[in-house]
Amino acid sequence: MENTKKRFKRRQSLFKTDAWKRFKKNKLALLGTAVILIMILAAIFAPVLAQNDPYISLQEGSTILKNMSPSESGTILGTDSIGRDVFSRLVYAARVSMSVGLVAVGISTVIGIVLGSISGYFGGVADMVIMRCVDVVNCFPVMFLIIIVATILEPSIYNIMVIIGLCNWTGTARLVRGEILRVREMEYVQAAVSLGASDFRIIFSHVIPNVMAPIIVEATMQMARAIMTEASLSYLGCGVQLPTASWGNMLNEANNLATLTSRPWQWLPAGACIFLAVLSINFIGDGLRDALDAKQKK
Amino acid sequence: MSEVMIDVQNLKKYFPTSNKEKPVKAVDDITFQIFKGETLGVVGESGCGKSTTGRLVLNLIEPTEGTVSFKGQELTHLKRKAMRAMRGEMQIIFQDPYASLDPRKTVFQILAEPYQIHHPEMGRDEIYANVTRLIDCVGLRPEHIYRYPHEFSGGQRQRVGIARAIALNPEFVVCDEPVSALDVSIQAQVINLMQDIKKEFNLTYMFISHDLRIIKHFCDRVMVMYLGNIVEMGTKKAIYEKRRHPYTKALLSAIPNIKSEDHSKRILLTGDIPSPVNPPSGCPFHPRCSYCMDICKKEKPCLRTMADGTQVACHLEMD
Repeated sequence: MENTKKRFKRRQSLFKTDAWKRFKKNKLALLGTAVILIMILAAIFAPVLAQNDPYISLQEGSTILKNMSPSESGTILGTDSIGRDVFSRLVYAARVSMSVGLVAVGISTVIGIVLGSISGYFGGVADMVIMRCVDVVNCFPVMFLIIIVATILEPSIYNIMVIIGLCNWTGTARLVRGEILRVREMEYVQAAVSLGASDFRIIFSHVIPNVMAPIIVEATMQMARAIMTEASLSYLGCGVQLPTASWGNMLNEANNLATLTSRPWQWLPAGACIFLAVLSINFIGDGLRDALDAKQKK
Repeated sequence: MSEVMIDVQNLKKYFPTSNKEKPVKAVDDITFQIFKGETLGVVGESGCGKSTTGRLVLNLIEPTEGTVSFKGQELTHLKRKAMRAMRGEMQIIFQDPYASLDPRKTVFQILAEPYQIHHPEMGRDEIYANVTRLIDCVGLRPEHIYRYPHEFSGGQRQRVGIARAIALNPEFVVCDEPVSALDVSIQAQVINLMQDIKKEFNLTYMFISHDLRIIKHFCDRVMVMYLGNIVEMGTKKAIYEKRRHPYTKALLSAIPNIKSEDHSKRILLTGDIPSPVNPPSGCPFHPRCSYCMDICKKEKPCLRTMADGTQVACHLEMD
């Protein structure tokens, strides 16, 4: 029996390599993965990478080193308007952005899968009610809603995660519903019904695994969107609150013309990070879409 | 004949269309029995309601009217849970072996599922033993069980489908065109396999097909369907030799024959099969029938039982 289990594992990992082989061919996706891995590592090892505390102004004697360029201050990316190390803040901000992205997408994907499955599999009244909810949530001016809720509930990183999660599940729900409508008519689902499988078993053992690929792709794309939303909110001041650093609220510094024109080190790196993160995640999403499509075999 | 296994009474299945007044009458009031141990062949053109009948018999779709009983137990009003428990005794083999196996599961996982559902007490070792026995039964090799469906040929996949259907030792199996998606050379192998399995497991088959030669080879009794109705039903011999109903005549004359030079005997039906949304008045076959009389346009013929037990739905005089 030990032997058969081992064989079973071997075949499964072989199957996974097939997808990996296809993913490997997409150079942009590989590049994106590398960038995101670096960012995640930087976020995890932020205390090691950062030379200075991101929340304390650098001082030389009694003078605060405000608005110093990299060369003047001796730090990698200079200091901001109240003398904090920009590089340290950037690394710590990666923690905020990555965790907001992951948690928000986790929330929205779980809600989307559950509601989408119910809607697609059972149809009828449940489908009607859930799809109308989707329409209603889609009608919300999301940004506006988030700003209001964040203001009422006192803005914090946790509130932001939950709000973004609760507003973004509609895409996944629609996707899952459509995929389930497609898959539930497949003969292998009919076969499971004729074997006497319960609805629960059919959904979780046959339907969901077969619609996982588009869900993963959708989740990746949503993560990029969540990071963008968090950045915009923080930029507007309703998101992550100072002194906690986030790429969005670091961009906020550029609100002032002098900074924008003569102190690029204060805002350019944060902008570049948002850009790179979102772009990389989208590349990964594209790569995954091609790689996970089992029918596309070479 | 022996014991009745499946008893179908006045079964109807109407599928709703956008126009509520005019549903698609896929199956329109059919009554028949399947006896224990026999193979009932169901033939007819595409769209005549063969597959729908097969699924209705297994209660995979709800009938609009009428009842289906399995060994005296009426299925149509059974609670969902009780129905699920019954499913082990009645199985289906699907037409398309490419669509009927879950692409994300290995053959082992596919064949283990029936046991996991109906015998949750079974351990992995016991399931493994059962799966290898099944695999052997359908002529696949033990190393095949950890492969995925896409690694098999059509015939091998259909063998897996057959193995899944017999996993729970069912008494009754609906075969929904089990070989029509396969190569002719493979068809014979699969048909022979199904015959062996029938003997070994003492099965009763309902064999749906549009291939008249396979039906002739495989079945004991034949049911000819046209536009959701039974037009003729009887033993294979009576159907193939007597050819009472004009539709049966036309259908059987279409079997290609290498020996016969004479193509003039072939009856060509003109026109298309009418729409089941808007079936003709009277006999459903009358617009295409060369023996059509006035009464055929007005009155729908009932099934009449002939001296040899064959049932025919036709107004023509016959013995």
